[in-house]
Amino acid sequence: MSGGGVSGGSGVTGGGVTGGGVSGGSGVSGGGGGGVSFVVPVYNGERSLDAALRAILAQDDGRPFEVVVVDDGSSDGSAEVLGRFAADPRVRLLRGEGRGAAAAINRGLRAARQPVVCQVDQDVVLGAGWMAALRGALAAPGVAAAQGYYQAPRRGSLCSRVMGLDLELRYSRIGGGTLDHVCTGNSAYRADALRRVGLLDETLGYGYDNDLSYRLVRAGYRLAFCREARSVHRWRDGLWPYLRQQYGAGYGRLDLVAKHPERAGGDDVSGWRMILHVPATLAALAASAAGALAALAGTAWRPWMLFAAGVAALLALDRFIAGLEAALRFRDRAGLAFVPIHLLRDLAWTAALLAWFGRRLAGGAPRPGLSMARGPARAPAAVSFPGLGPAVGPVPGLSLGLAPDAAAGRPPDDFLTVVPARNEAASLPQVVAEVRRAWPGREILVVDDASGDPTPVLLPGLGVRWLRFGQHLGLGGALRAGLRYARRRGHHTVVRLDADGQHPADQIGRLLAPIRAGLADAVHGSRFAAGAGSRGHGLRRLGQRLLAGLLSGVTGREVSDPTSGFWAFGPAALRVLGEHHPTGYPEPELLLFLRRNGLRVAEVPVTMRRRAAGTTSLTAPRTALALLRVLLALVVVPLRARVGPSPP
Amino acid sequence: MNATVQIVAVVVSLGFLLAVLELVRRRRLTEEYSFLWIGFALLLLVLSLWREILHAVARWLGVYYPPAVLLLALLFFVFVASLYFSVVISRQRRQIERLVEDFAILAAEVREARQQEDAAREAREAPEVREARKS
Repeated sequence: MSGGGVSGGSGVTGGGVTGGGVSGGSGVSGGGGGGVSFVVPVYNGERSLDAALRAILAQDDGRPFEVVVVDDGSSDGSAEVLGRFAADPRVRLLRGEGRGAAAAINRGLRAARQPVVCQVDQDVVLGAGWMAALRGALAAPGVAAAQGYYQAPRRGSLCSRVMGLDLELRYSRIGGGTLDHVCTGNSAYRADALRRVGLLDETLGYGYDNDLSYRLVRAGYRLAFCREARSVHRWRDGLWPYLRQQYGAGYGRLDLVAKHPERAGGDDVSGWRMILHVPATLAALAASAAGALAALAGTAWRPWMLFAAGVAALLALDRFIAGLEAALRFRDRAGLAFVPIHLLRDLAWTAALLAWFGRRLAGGAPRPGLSMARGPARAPAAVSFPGLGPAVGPVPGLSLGLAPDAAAGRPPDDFLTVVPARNEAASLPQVVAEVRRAWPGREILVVDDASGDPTPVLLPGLGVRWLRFGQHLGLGGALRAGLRYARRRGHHTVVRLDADGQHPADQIGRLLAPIRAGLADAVHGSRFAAGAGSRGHGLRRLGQRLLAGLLSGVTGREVSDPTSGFWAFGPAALRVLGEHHPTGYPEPELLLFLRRNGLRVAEVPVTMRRRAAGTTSLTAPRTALALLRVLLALVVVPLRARVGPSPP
Repeated sequence: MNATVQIVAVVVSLGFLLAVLELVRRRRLTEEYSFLWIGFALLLLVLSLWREILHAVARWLGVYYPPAVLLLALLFFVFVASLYFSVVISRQRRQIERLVEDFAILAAEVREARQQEDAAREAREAPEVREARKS
C-alpha cells in the first residue's frame, strides 16, 4: 500500500487534473494563469466551518477558482452550514465514505480540476492574501508544496492557546524558506507533483501530511514555508480533548516512523528535541517504578528516584524556556502554562508509545488508522467510487450492504419474526403456523443453530425463510445473524419469538405498540408484570426474582421478567444488535447492554404458555453459570465503551 | 551450582531456542507468537550463562534460595502467557462466530436468488408447456 493506492496517475479519474499536467517536472504552473482548487475535508466542523469557508471564498482573485468540500459523514450541523454554500457556483459538495481525513482529502484531490490545489482544514480561517502568497511560493522552480503560517489564536481556552503558541514557536525556529515537511490544512500543492508521487496514504490516521512531504522531498521537489500566508487555527478546547489528540499524534508518529525509519529523529517542524521527550519520559517513569519497587523491597531507592526527578526536571526546564520564549515573543501569558500541559502531553505520547508497541507485540494487525480514531468505528458506507481500488483499513467481517430488494421499502406496520431454533423440531411447525395465522403476509425467519434433530429437513417445507449454521453458536449468534439478515432485507422491526411455543403469536401486537408509538427502541414481554397473570413457583422463580431485583436496581426501571425471550426490536436497536447482541443466556445482559448504549427499553405484560414440547435448557449447573455471567455483566457492561451503530 | 549444572542449563536453553526457531522456519509457529517464546528462551540462556544475575535478583528481593526466583519468574511467565492465549482464543472465537453467521446469511441469499431465478424461468415458459407438464 503506497500513496493511497494512486500512483502514476492511473488512478486519477473523473475530470482529473487538467492544465497542470503540461508542466512536466520543473515548477511552471504555480503562478501562471492557471486557477486554484481548494479542498476542504469536513467532519463535524459545525462550529468553525462557516468562518473557514467564507475566508476561503474571499481569496477568489478572478482567475479560475473552485472549492471542493468533502463531507466525511458528519453527524452534527455541518450539513446545514454546507447547505448555505451549496448555491455558490464555485462550491462543489462531495460525500466522503467515512474512512477518515486522508481518504476524504484524496477524494477532493481527485475531483480538483485546477493545477494548484490548496488544502485547508475546516477549523482554519485564512487571512487576506493567503492564496496569493502561497501561489508566489509555488512559482519558484522545483517547489511542489508550500505551507502557510498558523497564527496562534489570541483567545480561546488555555489548551488551544498553548497548542497554537507551541506550533508558532516551532515555526519561528525554522530558518530559511524551505523545509522538509509541509503540514496539512494550511497548504498548497502543485497537482502534477501530487500526481507523480501519489496522493495521501489513506491507511494513516495521522501524519499522512508528513508522509506525503517526505515522498515529495524524496522525489526531488522542494517544499516552501511561507510566513506571509497567515491563518488562524482553532484548536480543540479543553485538556482532555487536547490530550486525546496528542495521544493520537504520538501513535500516528510511530506509524509514520515505521514507514519512514530514517525520519525517527523528526523533521523541521517536529525536531529531535521534541521527539526526545518521549524516551526521556519513559526512562523517568521506568526509574520511578524501579524506585518504588526498591522501596518496597527495602533496598536503596533513592538513586532511582533521583534519576527520575532529574529527568523530569530537565524536561520541565526545556518546556519552561520554550514557554517563556513563546510568552515574550508572542505576548501571550499562556506560554507560562507550557510546563504542566506539556508534561501531560509527554505522558500521553508515552502512553501512545506503549500502546503501539503493545499492539505490535500482541500480534494485532498494524492499524495506523487507530491514531485518529474518531468516536465509534464506522464501517465504510456501501458506496464505491471509480478508481478507488479496494477499501483500505479495518473492515470487520463482511461489511455487507443492503440487499438489492431492501430499497423497495416496506409498509410501516410490517415486521419480521425471527425464531431461533435448536432441536425444536417437535414444536417448530406449530409455532410457525400460529404466527402465520395471526399475522398473514408477514415474513418469518427461522435460524437453525446447527440442530441435530429433523429441523433441517423440516425447514424447506415450512414456507419460511431460514438460516442454518454449520456450527453451534448459541442464541447470541443466531440473533445477530437474524437481525443482520432482517436489515439486509429492509426490515425495520423484528419480533423475536422462541421456537418452543411459549410465546403466543397473538401477543406480538402488545410488544410492537411501544415501538410503533416511538416510545421505545426495544420491548420485552413479561410473564410477571402486573396484568400478565403468571405466578411461577419454586427455586426458579426465586432466582428470577433475585435477578429481576438486581436488574431493576441497576437499570433504574422496573424489570419483572429478566429472562424473557419474547422481544421486539425497532430500527435503532436493530442497527446495534445485528453486530453486538450478547451471547450465552443473553437476555439479562441484553437489558444492560441496551441501557448502556442509550436505547430505550420497555416491558409489557404478556401471557405465556408452558412450553409446547421439549424441556427447558436451563438445568441447574447451567442456571448457575448463567447467573454468574449475569453478575459479571452487571459489573462490566456499564463500564464498557458504547458501541457505535453500524451504517443505516 | 557446579559447572555440570550450568552446562546442562545452557544446552537445554539453547535447544529450546533452536526448537522455537525451527518451528518458525517450518511455519508451524507464526512470527507474532514466536517473539514471546524467543524472548523467553533468551532469558533462560542469559540466566544460565550468568548465574550472578539470579543471585543478585534473589538478594534484592530478599529471597534466600536463588532458584526459587527462577521458579517464581517461570510461574509468572506461564500465567501471563496463558492469559494472553485466552485473549487470542476469545478473539478467534468472535471471528469464527462472525464467519458462521455471515456464511449462513450468504447461503440463504444464494438459495433465495436461485429460487427466484427458477420461478422466473418457469413463468417465462410458454403456457402450453406448463399445461403439458401439469397433465
